[in-house]
Amino acid sequence: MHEAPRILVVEDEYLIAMELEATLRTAGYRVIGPAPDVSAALELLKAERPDAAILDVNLDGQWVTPVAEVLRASFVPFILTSGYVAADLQAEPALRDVVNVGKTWRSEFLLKVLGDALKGE
Amino acid sequence: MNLEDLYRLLRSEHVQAQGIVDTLEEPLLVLDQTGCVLTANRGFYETFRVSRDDTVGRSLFALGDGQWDIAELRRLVGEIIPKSAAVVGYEVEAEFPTIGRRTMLVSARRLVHPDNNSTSILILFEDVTDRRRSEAQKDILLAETRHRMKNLLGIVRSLASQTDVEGRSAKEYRDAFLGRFQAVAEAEKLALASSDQADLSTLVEQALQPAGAERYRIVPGPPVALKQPQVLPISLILHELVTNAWKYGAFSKTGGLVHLTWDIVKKDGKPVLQIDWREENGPPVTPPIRTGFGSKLIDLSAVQGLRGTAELKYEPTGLRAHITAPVD
Repeated sequence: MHEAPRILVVEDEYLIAMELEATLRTAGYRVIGPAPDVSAALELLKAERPDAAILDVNLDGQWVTPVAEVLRASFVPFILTSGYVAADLQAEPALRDVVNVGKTWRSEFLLKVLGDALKGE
Repeated sequence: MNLEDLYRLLRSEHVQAQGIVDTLEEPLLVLDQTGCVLTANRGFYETFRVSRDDTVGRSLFALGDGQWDIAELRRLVGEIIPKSAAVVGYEVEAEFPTIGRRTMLVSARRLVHPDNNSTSILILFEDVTDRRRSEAQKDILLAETRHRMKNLLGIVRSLASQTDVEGRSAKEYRDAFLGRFQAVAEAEKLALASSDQADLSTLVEQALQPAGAERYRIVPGPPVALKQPQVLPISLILHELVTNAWKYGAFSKTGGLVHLTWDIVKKDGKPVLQIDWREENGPPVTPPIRTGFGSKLIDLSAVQGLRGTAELKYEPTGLRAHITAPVD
């Protein structure tokens, strides 16, 4: 049988992380994390390679960029759940062309975007 | 009018005009067509802390450390006389001798003169350093507020989607959700009211007060100033404990009582807040068969929200909860 894809979740607001986790589990994914900050996320990435990742951008004032760079280097697709708009992300090459579903999202939309990312679309 | 009267009149007008110019706090210069300073007012000397000798007779572009020697400004000023152009609010940010880094708006136009053929240029300076600084602070505040609002909506959404629906009527779901929503709203109000710290005793009082003073005893510990990110998790934990007490615990029976205390203890040399909740005289307590969202919310709020711990003990005499959270 196919193993459920593993999704790394990086989100500093625990209540939002909680919902992301519940949504992903219900949809049949396995969740790595949620990691609340950059160092916790990098630590998790050392231990295992996820199939995809969902990243918040501003983690209590720190940008998620180092995590995005590691993911890019190991060809792990990822999407963003950030309140930032495209213009805010322009300065960060690792983030600027990534799909951002926003801070509040429809579950179906998030899961579709994630599914597309996993398929490499 | 004889000549003497006319002379007196002209003289008094001149003195008055000079007086007006010197009363202005805004620095101003009068240049000749080549950009050489003919006159400077008191405001100019005071703002830039320079003397008359350093100013009059020198080119605008050679003043100080050459802050005004900007190719574009040179070009603009150069066009004023031949093309009757004007410079309005040209922004220059530079390091000035003695007064430091400043942002100045420079305006320049041909000096109005009765002969209508003036070749002098009036230059006005406006120091907008403080205004720019406060604008930048406002921008930061606005960005933070926007981020906070989006987060808040995400939090509310999370609570709405995770509040249990199974085996509940719509009304029960609505009450459960609105209770949590209220806890978020109260935490937000408290977090916004104080600059960046909130008092634990206020939060505790706020959570227990609706039960009625005779239903709870608070033994306060030392004053604890909570950091902004700690307010919401503590507010939610207290809300869940209070709700549980109404449904199954001390508040569900006359004579039932909640005791709440807190203290700061040292753990590995670092201060840790401990909150103890103890119910008594309520109905007999048994551990729940199924853990609902409420107990998950208490646990995650303590572990992830506070980076601490939550321990619930279903003792026959009543529920006990022990919450810890690092503080500094």
